[in-house]
Amino acid sequence: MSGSGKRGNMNNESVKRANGTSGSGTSGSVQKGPMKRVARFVGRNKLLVLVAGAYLLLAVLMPEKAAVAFQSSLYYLWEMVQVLPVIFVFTVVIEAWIPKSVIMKGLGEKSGVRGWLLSMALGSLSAGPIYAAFPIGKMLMNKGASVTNLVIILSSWAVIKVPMLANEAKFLGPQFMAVRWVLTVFAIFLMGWIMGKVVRREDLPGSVSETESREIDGKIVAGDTSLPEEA
Amino acid sequence: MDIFTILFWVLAVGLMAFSLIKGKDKTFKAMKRSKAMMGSMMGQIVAIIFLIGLVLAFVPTETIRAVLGGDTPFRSTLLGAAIGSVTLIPAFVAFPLIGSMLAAGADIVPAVAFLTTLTMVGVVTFPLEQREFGRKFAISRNVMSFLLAMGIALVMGVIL
Repeated sequence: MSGSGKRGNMNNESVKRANGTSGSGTSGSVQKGPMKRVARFVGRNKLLVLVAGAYLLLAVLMPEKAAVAFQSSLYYLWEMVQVLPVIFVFTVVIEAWIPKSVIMKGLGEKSGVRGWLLSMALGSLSAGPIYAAFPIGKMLMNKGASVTNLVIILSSWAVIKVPMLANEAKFLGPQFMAVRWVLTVFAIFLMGWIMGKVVRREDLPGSVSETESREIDGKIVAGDTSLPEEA
Repeated sequence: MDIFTILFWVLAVGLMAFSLIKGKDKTFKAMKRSKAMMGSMMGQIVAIIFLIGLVLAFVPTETIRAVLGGDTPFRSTLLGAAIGSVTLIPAFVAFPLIGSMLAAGADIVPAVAFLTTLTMVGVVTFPLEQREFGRKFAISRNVMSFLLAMGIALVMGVIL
């Protein structure tokens, strides 16, 4: 479960993968035994394998429950299919066209209250559930966004959405919605501020020193998303 | 698809076109990196999605109704916040559910605790959050969100 250890493994895997694909003449991963490939897949997707196992077990023991679970998962799967391509485009555009200096100035350690407000706006103009915020957050983190602003983006992404607020006002009343919204915004700023004090940038995986983009055999190392300092 | 999702797609297509026109090579290079980053998250995300289905199969809305409407407010609040943390229910299901409960005279505090942890605390997304942002970040964010959700619920109970 150790975050850093896992990260290390992952990076090794990515390096291996990058090497494998770059050298077209070398045997690479193609000739690896099927058992080894299965083992590697399992190692990388522990949660997925665990969940698949749970479904199999459930399908045998309580088939109706398994069907219900699968059925409701399909709704979330459809939600993901709708949102992830958009998130992908956003990360590409941030990666390609927004220089690190701009992110650092707008969302970095010294961005102050303006950075908070910008983060809140970014998070509020969001699409999809909180996991959709992870790739964007990761990208911004690698480009120098502060911990405080990262927390504000992730949290407001999950909580503050115009369609959601409209829905809340409809079913629970405008007053209920407005009070909860104000309290939540306050809570998010408070949490961002405290977390900015408690969590250092060094606590984040692959931050600053590690993220300087490395290239191996002309291939970009997977998972490393920081922009190389280009002239 | 709701109007907002459609708007985001329009925006995404526009941005992609802009990016390709502005610089093809740079766009493709960025695509490769984003693909690597998001590709490494995909297994987890698919796992999360099917995990949500599992959780919902075992914590159906009747259970949520029973828990939030419990006789001891403190216990209901704590349990409500806990259930909100492990489930990810879409807003259009959660709001009508809570709305009907409040209309029937249920206590507001457990309901708000549930609504707030529902979106802010993610137990099923925790492994992914931990991997991408570090253990300390993920634990602090989720624990603090849980506590703040309880705080928001209590304050709302006093105000409304």
